[in-house]
Amino acid sequence: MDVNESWEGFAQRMQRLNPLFELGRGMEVGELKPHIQTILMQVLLTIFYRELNDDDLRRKSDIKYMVEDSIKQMKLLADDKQIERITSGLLYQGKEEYSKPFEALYYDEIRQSWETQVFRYVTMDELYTNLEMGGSIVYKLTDVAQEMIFMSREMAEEFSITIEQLYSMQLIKNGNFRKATRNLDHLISRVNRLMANEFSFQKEMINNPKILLIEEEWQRADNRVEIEKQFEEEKNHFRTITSMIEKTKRRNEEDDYIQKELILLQEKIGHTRQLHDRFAKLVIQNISYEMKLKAENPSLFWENSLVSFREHFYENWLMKEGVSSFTVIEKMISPLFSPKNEFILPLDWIWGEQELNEKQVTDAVIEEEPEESITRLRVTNWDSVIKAWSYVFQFLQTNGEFSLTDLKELPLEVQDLWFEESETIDLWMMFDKKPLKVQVLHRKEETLTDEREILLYKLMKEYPQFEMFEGLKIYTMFDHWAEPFLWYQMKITPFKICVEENK
Amino acid sequence: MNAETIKKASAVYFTLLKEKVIDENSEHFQTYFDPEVRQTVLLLADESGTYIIEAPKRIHLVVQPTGSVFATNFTHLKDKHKQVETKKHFHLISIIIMSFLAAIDRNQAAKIRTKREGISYYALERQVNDLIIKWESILKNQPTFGEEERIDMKEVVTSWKYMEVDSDDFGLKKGNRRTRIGLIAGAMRLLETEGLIVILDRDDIAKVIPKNELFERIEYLYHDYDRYELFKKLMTSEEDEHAENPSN
Repeated sequence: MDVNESWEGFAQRMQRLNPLFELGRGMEVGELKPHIQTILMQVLLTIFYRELNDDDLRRKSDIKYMVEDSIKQMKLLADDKQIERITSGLLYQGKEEYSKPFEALYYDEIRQSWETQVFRYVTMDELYTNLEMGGSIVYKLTDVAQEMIFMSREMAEEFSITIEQLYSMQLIKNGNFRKATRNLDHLISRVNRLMANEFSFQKEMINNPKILLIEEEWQRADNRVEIEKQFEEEKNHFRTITSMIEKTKRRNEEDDYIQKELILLQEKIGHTRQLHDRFAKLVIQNISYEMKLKAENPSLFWENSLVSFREHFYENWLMKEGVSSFTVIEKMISPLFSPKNEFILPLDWIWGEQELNEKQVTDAVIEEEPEESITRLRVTNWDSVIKAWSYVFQFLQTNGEFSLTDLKELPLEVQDLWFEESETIDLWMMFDKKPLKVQVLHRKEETLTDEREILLYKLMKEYPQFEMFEGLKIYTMFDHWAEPFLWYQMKITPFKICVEENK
Repeated sequence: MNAETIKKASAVYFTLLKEKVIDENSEHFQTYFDPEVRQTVLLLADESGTYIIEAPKRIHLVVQPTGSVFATNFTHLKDKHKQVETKKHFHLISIIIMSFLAAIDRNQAAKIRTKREGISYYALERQVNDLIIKWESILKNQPTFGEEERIDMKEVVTSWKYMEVDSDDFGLKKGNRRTRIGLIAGAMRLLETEGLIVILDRDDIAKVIPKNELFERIEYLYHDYDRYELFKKLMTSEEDEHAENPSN
């Protein structure tokens, strides 16, 4: 017998086994190490069945629960860190931050070289991941992981006849016969694989017709040759094997056992035939899709670009030469963006909201204690105002800017300060008027007319460290990304107060 | 050009201005492809410094590289970073966007994969870092360039190098532009607002999934040979200009 037989299809075998070998490898999970593969297999099965049952609880957080659950079920113990590690270890190889796929080596007997196989166990399920709203990725099993699941039971069950068959063939002791049946097995598994390929090709073709042209094109041509070969082989094998079976049948007419085996074998041939018929139908269907797509989208043929951003702009220019002026980069990027249509002046907006808020606030106050609120409105308690604002200026001093949204982040007792005096909040609106050049330090308080100047004057008197603002320009900036936010029944459009150094 | 055409064309143009992109389901999509209307819209676009991308199923309106009468989210961002200290951050954001575009600009098969798996902020951080390291070696190997000339690049390289990747303090993680990941988040938010990407797993390890709209913009803006020539001219003239006018 040919020794090289053991090498036949070796690379493919290894590629099928590698995901099994790699499952859970290299994880630092301490005493859980011997159990890790069992745990992960159970997790894969859980994902698989959820997928079958249209259950979308397959986010990373759900997978974490699956891990936790499996561990509990298996009467093992794990802490959060281990659970976290096992979860990310199913999703990525190595550090989670880089989200890298798994890699494994295999020996390619035809090329006579070591090759790297890249695979993942789970991938994004586009059907369930909400791409419009953001949110979290819903995972599904990859083909690789599916195969592992089938390999572990379904396939064995499916092929159980085959394995027994192979043994009984040895009993029949017909070398040729055995080879023929083995070829039949090959035929089945190949037709299954081709069919899977054809299916995924169909899916991708519908999702993205362009694959008909780029790169995949030659793979497709390859596939075509393989398909034709498959049909040719099918024809030959069926002919020889049926005649062989007939011959053996006649020769062993009195042996019941062999007769039974042969009937099983015939059934298997029937099954293979059916598979081939299904496959043929699929191939023809795909060809007709392809024709239709090409007829309807002729542009697919001539859209082939000469320049690539990655190669020409990034690698050959930006990486190799660097830049001396960043305006070039700005010019490169800016056409990615659409013009912005400013339909509302931020200032009007703010005033509009302010009117509305005042109504809300005063209404509430009047209902409760009307007299007091009137007197309070007349006399401004500057101490409270200054205290509240000192926090803002502290931020300005260190960061150069302060956004209204940050008010929410202040300690609660500081937030309370903001509501002691209505003036405190009104001052915000004053800052949005026009930029203020701070010149108050050497003036008399009575000469100050601008409320903001009064505030700054008082702030500097109270907290000398704020004297550094003298001579600087304070202006506001409207953040166009920001949404109005709610802060104690007030709807506020966030803007920022900024400090500009004097030039 | 009659009044009716102008009316139709401006309806299309102003819808584009409002929506950025219109797709084949919009009533304006069909109107646009009336030859006269299209001519007028293109004229309007050109006069306002904008450019129209005609993808198979969508029409986009974007600004021209030489500037437009309109502001964009990008120019707003630039205005925000006028101070010297934060200008560097703006430059870094621009570089991050460039690196991101390069990362997703690949052949079709890889594109499908990127669309499915996305690019994590950390993977992008590695990509930007590669570029910065390259630049650092350029700066080292060409001492003749001296202090004056490549000053922008040098600043950017130094500030990136001394920047933490991520802050340990989880609470401050959001929008902290003093870390690399914070800056990347800012850059990606910009593209997200523009409707070009989707950000998934934001609270965990955020991943960016490019949308078809982005692939279309890359293809029409950077894969076209004439436009490449245009950009090249811009690059070279810009560098000359820079020598005369360092305040630019």
